[in-house]
Amino acid sequence: MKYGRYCWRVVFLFPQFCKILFTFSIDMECSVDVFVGNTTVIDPEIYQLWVDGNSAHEAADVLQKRGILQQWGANMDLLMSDVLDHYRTFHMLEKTLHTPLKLTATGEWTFQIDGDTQQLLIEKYYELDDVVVREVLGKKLSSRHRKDLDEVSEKTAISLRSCRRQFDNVKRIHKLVEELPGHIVNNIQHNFLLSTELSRKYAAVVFIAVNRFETTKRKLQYLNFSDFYHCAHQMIEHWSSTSCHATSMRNQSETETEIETDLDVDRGFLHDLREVRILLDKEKELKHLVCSQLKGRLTDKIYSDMESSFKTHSRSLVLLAGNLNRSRELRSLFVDLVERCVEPLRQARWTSRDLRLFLDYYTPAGVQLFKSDSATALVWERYMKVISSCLVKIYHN
Amino acid sequence: MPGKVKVKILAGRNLPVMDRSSDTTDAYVEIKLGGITHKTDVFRKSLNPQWNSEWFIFEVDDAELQDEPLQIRLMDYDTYSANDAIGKVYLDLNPLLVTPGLSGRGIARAETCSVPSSGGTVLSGWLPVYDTMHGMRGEVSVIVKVELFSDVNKFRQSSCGVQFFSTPATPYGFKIQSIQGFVKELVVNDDPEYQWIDKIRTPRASNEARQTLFSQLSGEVRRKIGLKVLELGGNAVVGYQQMFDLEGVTGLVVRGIGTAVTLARCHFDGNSAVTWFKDQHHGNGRESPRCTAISPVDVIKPLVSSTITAPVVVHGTTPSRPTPCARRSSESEINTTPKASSLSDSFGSSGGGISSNCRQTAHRQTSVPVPPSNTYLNGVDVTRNLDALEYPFLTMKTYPPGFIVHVGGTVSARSVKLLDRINNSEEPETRDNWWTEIRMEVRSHARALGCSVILGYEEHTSISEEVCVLSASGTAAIVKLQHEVDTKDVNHGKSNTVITEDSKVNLPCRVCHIPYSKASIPFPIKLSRCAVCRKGKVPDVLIATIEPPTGMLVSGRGCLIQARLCRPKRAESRGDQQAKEISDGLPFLEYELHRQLINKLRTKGMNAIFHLKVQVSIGDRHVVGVATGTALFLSALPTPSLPKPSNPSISSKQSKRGRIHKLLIEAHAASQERYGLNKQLNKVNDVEEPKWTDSDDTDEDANDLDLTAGNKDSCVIEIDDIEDIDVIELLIDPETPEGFDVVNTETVPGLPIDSIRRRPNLQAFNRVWKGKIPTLQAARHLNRCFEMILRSIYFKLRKSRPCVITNLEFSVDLPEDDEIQITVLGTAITAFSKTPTEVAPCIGTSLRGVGSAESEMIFHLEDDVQSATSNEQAASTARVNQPNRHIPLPPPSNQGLLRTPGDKAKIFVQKERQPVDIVTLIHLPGSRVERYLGHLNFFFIRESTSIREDGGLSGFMQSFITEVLGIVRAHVSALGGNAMVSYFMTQCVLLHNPHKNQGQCLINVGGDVVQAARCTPEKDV
Repeated sequence: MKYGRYCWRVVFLFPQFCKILFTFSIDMECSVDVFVGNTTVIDPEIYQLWVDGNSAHEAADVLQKRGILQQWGANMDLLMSDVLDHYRTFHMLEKTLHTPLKLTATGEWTFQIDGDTQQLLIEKYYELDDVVVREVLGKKLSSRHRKDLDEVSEKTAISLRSCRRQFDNVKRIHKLVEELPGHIVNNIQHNFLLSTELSRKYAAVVFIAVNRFETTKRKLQYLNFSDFYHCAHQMIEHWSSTSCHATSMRNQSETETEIETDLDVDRGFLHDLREVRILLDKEKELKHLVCSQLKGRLTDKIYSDMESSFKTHSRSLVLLAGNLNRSRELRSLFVDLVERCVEPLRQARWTSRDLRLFLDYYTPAGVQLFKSDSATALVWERYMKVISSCLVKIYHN
Repeated sequence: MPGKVKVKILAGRNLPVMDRSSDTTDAYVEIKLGGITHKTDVFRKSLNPQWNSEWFIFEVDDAELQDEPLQIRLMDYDTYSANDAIGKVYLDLNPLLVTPGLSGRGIARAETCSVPSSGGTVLSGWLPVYDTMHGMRGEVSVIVKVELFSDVNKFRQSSCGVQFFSTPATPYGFKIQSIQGFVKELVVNDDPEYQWIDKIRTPRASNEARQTLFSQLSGEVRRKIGLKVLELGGNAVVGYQQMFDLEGVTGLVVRGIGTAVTLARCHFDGNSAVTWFKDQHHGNGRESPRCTAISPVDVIKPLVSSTITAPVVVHGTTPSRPTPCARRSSESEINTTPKASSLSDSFGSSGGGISSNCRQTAHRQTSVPVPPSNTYLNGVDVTRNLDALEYPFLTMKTYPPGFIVHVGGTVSARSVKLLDRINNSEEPETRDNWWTEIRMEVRSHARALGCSVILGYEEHTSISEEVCVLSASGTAAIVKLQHEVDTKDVNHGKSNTVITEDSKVNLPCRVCHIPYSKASIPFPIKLSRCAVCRKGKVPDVLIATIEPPTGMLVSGRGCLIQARLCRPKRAESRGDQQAKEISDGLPFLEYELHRQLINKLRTKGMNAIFHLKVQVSIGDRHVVGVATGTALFLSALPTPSLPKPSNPSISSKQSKRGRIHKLLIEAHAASQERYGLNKQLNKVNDVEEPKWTDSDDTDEDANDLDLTAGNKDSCVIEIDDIEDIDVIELLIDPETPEGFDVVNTETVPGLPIDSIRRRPNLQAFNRVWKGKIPTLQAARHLNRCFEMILRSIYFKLRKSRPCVITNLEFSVDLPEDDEIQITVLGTAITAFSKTPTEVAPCIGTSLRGVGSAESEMIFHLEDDVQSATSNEQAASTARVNQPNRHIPLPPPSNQGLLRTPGDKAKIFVQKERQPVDIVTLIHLPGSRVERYLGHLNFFFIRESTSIREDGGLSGFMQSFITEVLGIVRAHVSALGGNAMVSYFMTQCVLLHNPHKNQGQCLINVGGDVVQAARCTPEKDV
């Protein structure tokens, strides 16, 4: 391996007298240059550079700019040799990182790494950039899309290698977790040893991918990953099959053993949702209930708009609920929400506070109207809980 | 006579996909030992097969048991085509043949009889499956048991009871009852790589044939050495070194040397061994107070007397000289002397000359036959015994305190030989004779120095095509029987009497005194009065191949010193001519090397070198010599004078000379500052002054001036106009960065153990560098290469400062025309002594999820640190009382970066396995060796036909070494150990064919498997 010729300049400096300066070019060409320790040496700084998709030369340049040479009194050759060493190690590690359980298994002898560093390696390797995930979201995780990643890289200003790594990671986790029963976050955590935070990110991506939610429409472009993350987790929490008996997450641990996965939206619930269409007939009462509560709490302008277009707003929410059992409707949930709710309200210049207030009173009003049918009331509540939360979250520019 | 080996194959995991169509593997296992093969069932379609086989039983002769490795081969079953090999596991059964409670041979055997499956005789665990073409390929879980039946047959071929240690010292927890002396064995075979069959078989088959053969030969050498040890009445071999000489077409030579000893378990719960070592670091005291630790409670009478072989070494009380016995027992003895001379004649005529020299100070010396003066031989038995032995060589590097009486100096001998085909591999006479010759020469050098034994003895070869350079070196010394020292020390301890005859002998500076009488100085040498006792004579420079003896007075700290030299060689000459050329050039090389070393030493302001290792490597175009050692300042020896540049011919360059002189002075001052020489020196002088006036009864006061008179002129650097820069460059080493201490000894002399006392981070590392040497300025380039390698190591370890790099070992190969390969092996000990207070809070938060108990402990620890530092008086006890660190702290500098956003939530990786430490040292800093579980010696070959795809030759090498270390760790763990000490890598041969995108590498690694316990306060007290 050859990385250029460098001039060796050995300078002896004498305080007062003189300066002997002799320069001679030595070709430090070498074919082997390795350092192998019994404990695998991991430099977190260089690892981060590798994960970010820098080539060895780029990484060395970055480090040089950070002043590592001055700090440790080294030259570029040494730095390069060190970086290459690390890069080779990472390259060897990469295969194992695809199955983190193997890395931490008791009989894994190839690398001797302490627990903290193992955790660091895994966590960093599976790190996601929100901007990249946003691009990947909703796309089929096929090799065709992998090829398109250079566009993503261009758009997000994140190196192609890093984009590929993230894409592959999402794909890998998706493939493994898809079929597993139980709670998705836990599954990811157990199989890939990621932190809860990161596992939840992957869970959101996988949830959206499995249910094939439409996320790429032009109208949805303004939404960022954190919006989808929020919505996905709302749905996982309240709408999935595992959450049907418990509306709160408190007894999550007990339901863990269930065969059902929380990746699927509860079909029974969606079926039951059709019942809420009754509200269309009770629109007058509903409007009365909501308006009486909200009067004085909203500004006059918004209040009058709400009063006048209550029918449209309410109808869109109720109709959405009624149609969700059709899988096509479910898939276009985000589009529908934006088209039918967010955009009209935005035109009417509602603030997100207004929206929250409205939803806060709208949901209990519905419940009140279902008083004869407590089952439907529960279904309505379960539906509105997620929808309200999502609407508030995605109601921004 | 026979032994029974039981093998059970439990499962496999992470196997490679062998069947592409179904993405699975139909694996089964073949277990082979000697000629017998067993097979498991085929476990279909799984990468994690569960065989759970029955016990396969091999009934084999115990000689076979020692020679043959157990081969476990994983295969992929194919219905239609030939079954494919997945990979293999070679299991050395020798560790299982030695009983853990080694306590005299008879008893050891009895134990094996009654308790067949006691402790160490079971091996179980996940072992990596290795393939020479693909590297590691999954793991297999096995259990192996060995049941050995007792064998009292006089004529048996096996030597199962003998334990081997590559540790060049007394193993911990043992004491040496008697030393039987030098044992050696040499086995010759054809190299499968050069057999005709290699032309038609696959690379894999060829590699495996080689690996198996190497393994067998290694076992055979050990078995034969073991037999000799049993004959001599010993029960173990320490300082065992095994070398493979790959002579190419002419075959393969496996050599083993070691020291046969009778070991007995210490009944101090192993503590003596620990204190023994610590003494070395506190050696600044007048005499080591813990010498008693070695003293046996009762001198155990030789246990061997009842067994078949006659006891050779008889203890102090027995008056008879056992010399005839020793002579009879050593086979080769009978025919050595006459044959050696005749053969050396014949070789001299055939072109291989012998060059030798013996170094004491800056003077070369040809052997002067001076009979050893017996006046200094106080310890009668061992010394006389060793003296009477054919080869009074000891391969150990560290000795019990008081064992060494005087150190004479380094002796070495080299011989250039022409390789010829070994016709009869059963009688490897020629090779044997070569070594006999050279050993005799070393012995005669030692005798010339008035020394009876040679310590730290080593043998090496360097082969280039048909020329072979054999070298042997060691430290000539006079030693004393061990328990005699003990009794004296006990006396001394009881009555703190004033200076008696005994204490005079026990002076710590005694070791440095010259062993020969002044009258019979064999060569011109400058002597001066010992600076400590003012009585004995000391040389101005002391060079030795051993570790600094315990209790030696050292000022300041030691540091690495290295001389490198490269001489060109005509490439076109062949055969005799080439041998002659090398032979003629060697003395010059060695002289230059020595001069460079001495000048560097003086520039550093030090006066002694320990653990010196001189390696001469020959290549096609160059001959390279590298001398590595640890320089230090012995208080007993005179302060060295700084080298002076002289330039007699050219007067106009006066100013330049002055400049160079100034450079030297500055370098000298820097070194003094760096290694704390000046202040220590003053202190020592202050202390010693009154002493000197007390003991005024010496006989030769006047001679003092005479002897030191020549000192000033002794070190003059001749500077020619052209080469002056070279000289300066060679003399002034770039400074070691702050925070690093680099030595090639076990520990840094003069560095208190306190700074590395706590649970340190141990890191054995292998550094391999291969590059080109230009024909022009080869010497300068060589120097740069070494500097670069050292600096890259510092740079690599930059984040774990303060750091102590010990046991640094360089080996140079010149594989191709203009290529040089430098392999560096060492152990980095990272100390945490300063940082825990800053780090602790950080750790506390990071472990919050784990449990409060542990984090509380950390804060206790912190308290203890403070108390320890505050209380200077109780420092020594506090050191012992330091609480154990259960949680290994990550290097402090990584702290900030290790924190990741989701850190607090990670509670997952809690089943943290215990790491397997590998060190090149004989001890484990921060831990105590509890048990030795056997000696391992691996031979790996790795070949690849996709070097470019593997990330170049560097990538290939890195993954290979990583895997090799992984396999070593797996075997250590399977034997029930948690560390390997005395780790070595003796061969690292890398062949590369860039046109074919092909590469092959061959590595020999090994060491002693141990079970170690972290030092805890309860156990340590």
